[in-house]
Amino acid sequence: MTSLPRRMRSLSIASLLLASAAISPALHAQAAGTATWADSVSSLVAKAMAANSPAMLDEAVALADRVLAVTPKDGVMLHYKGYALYRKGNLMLGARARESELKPVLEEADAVLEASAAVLKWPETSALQASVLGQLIGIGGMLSGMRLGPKADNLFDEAMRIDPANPRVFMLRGIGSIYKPKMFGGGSDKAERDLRKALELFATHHPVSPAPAWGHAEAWAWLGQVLAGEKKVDDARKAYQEALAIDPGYTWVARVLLPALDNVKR
Amino acid sequence: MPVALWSQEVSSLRGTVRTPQGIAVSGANVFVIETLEGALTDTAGRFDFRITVKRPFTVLVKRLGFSEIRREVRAGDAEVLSLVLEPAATSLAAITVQAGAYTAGEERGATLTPLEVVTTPGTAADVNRAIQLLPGVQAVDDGTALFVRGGDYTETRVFMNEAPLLNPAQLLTPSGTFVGTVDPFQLDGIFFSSGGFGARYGNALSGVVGLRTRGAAARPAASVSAGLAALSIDGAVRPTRTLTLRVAGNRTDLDPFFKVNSNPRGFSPSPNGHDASASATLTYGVAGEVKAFLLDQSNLVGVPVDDPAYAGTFNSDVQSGLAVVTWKDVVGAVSLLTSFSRGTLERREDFGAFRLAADQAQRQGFAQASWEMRPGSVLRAGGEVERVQSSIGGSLPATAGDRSPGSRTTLFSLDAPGTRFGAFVEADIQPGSRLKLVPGVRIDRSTLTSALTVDPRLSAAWRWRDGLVATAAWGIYHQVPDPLFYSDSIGRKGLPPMRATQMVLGLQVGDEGPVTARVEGYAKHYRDLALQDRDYRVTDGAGGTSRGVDVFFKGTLPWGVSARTILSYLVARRTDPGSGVLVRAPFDVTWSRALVMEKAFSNGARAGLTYRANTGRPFTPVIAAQRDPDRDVFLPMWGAANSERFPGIKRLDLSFSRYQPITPAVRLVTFVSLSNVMNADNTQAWTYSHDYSQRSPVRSIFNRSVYFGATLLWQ
Repeated sequence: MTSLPRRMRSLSIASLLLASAAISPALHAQAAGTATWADSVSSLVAKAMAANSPAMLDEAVALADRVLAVTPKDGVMLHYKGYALYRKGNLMLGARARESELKPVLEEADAVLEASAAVLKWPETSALQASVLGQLIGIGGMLSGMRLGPKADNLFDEAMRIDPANPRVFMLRGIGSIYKPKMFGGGSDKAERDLRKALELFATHHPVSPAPAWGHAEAWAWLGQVLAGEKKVDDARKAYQEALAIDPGYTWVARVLLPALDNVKR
Repeated sequence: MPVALWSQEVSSLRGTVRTPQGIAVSGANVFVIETLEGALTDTAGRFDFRITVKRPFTVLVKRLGFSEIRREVRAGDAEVLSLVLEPAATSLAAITVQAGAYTAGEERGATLTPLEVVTTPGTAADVNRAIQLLPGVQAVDDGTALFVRGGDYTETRVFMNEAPLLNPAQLLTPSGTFVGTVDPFQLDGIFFSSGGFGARYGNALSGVVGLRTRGAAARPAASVSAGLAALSIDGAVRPTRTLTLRVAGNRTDLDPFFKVNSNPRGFSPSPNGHDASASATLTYGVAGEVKAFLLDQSNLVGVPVDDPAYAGTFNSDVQSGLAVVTWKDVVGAVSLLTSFSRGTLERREDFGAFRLAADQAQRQGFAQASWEMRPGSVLRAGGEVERVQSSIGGSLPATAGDRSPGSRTTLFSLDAPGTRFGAFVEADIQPGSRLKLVPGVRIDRSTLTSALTVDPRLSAAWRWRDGLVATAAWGIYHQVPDPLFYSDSIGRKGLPPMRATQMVLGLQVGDEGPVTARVEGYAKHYRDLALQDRDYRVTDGAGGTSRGVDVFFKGTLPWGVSARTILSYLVARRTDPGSGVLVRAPFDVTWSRALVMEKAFSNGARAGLTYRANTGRPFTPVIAAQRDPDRDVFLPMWGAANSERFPGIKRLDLSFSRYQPITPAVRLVTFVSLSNVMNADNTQAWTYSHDYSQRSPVRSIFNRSVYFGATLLWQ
């Protein structure tokens, strides 16, 4: 007598699972709000970076654009669109894309992140925008630096003010310091200090979706590059191995950075 | 459970996207708006993706450099879509600048960020005081009331989540109010218009403030703050992914502040009050949101006033409440917004023979639908019903010079409802990439005025070149006089609506860059104003003019110092209700200047200063006095209305704050501010000897003073 209701319960659970699988992901996500869309965009970005695929980043931007067509002032979705564009800019820079192709991507990232910051105070948003401005300075030269440099500094200050214990803010500032001339406040010593601080904060950082959760392995990868630049090959190798321990599929570290250590003269 | 209920028809949507010349468009984002299913086109302009929606549905195509298109796909349409994208004329950003309008935190191009509002030195984190540092607002007295471009503060309406506030300023004293109505930390958006605002807003002659409370929280958060005059707590939790609950409480008492500094007016009791708020925000679907917001406030103050005929205490006790529910959603290309609110205000004031007991209850329903006709062009239509039940009673001295208890008085009372119906239609049109037009019209009818008013309004912005925008606005504005004025004992029934015609011309440089500069000239013509004379009698049919220029600059100076400066010039004339002659308006502050500078340091420290200097406001001098033998008091004889001015006002305020992490989740904010560093007198009024032969200045309540406190934040 007791087995029948149990079987019915199992059937009901099975039919519910079946039904939820049959509902389109879009409808499912609509019911759950934009947080699920944010997770989808974030996941696409992570896959794109692992595969070094600008096309997948375009998919991530397109998905964010679809949601923004309905909720144009959604701060979370604007953030993730800006983040995807920032990553696309990273890949294009790495592939030495032409300035005429790269600049519109970075300018769009800047505008989208600014729109996000106007409605949602996430420290990563300001820090990402500062990093995007840093990239624009990199391709625009001295005049761009004079115009955008103070704004980028203010954005990092703003990010620090919103959350002085955010590891991604320290990581992005550290990355910026690698490329920023020492006379303008950059340098590898500052980069190393910020990256080590970021790693210390990552150890106890447990964000809840849809808040950003990327960057832990990446911070080790960038620290490794700073150490490699200082000819500290063993320390750099350890940093890369830490990165791979966190993200075993980190192809940039496994296939590019680690092999490159063999060419570093001690 | 029937399986059919859960099953869905899965099919695919295929087609191509090309230019009018037949060239394939790659990378175009093609998607179904109802489900957001979609794909990017390949190098041949083709797309093919799975859909789970039945026809009819709408397909949207977006691609940078091309105009967006929407296509409804019906049952009989072809299986393979052939879509054509037109290249965009010019890929300039949308024009966001509007004559007279300033926003905080709303969008790219915002004039101020919410952070700038709450950290501006000398504003004590008060929204109204921060708005006073925007162009077009005259600092007429010590208070937080908003006197906009030569208008009285009653001509500026404040809306909270679309609901009008009955008391936009609190803690009344004879020389102004202490604080604004709302805790700024509960806000995430502020809109201020100093004139030329659109047809959406009715029953306001001069200005409009729109406040939007915070909605969904990204994560749980809480804070406790203690300062020299206030103790406050707030918290937000998210019990489910779609529901956010917030509570906030604030207790204000200036007694400790006066003990540390000084009590310049001998307040007894010192200004004190509380406000408590709670909100629930429920999000659903992609854009749906239901928000309920409750606010309860009380304010009490007693201030000694030394009149020649009577020395006593002016007492003010104000209790108010607001409940507002808003709902918004997007259905296809239509955005819907509705709100229902109930506000209450109980005001008790007395000083000698003057007594006021005013109870007001207000209910309002507002609805608006916005239809995005095409990208950048929106048609809005809506309306509101507002019912105010006023029960007002009290006594007024028969002559303004004798407010002593037992003097002759005029009793007044009013117990009447007033209902106003309003409707509007307005369009945001961008005929090209350089021009934006906002034509609109609204109609209003109030049972108090028994008159139907029609207000056409037009706003335009023309982008001459990137970063250089010319603006213009023209419109007619009506406002129902204060319900008290309909009391037979001091006014009359059937007072007509007051009317203003506004014209604004402006130029803005740098609408989206780090530097913004704006110059605006304006002219306002008033008629049918209902004004109270010195003996509190209401005169109707009054008129006036306001003309002026406002200059605003915001930018970043060397060393990362952000700076804002305003310069306002105003000439305001208004009928003197006593003589019927057109004279200087009581709010005719010729020059207003302000400079705000702030510097944020990388260690979490922030420093700022605000410097203000204004022309003194006009006043009517006492030229002689006559003894009343019956009551043995001197009664003043007045000179020409508003023929003299108070000395100019100067004030320098400094502030410093530091943000420090205690643990990764807990942060400490410490702050200290120094107000009126130069200890300027800043005369606000005169007090006279018993026979009016000598007068002495009543200085500002803001002596040189220090304020400090700390906030503990958890997130």
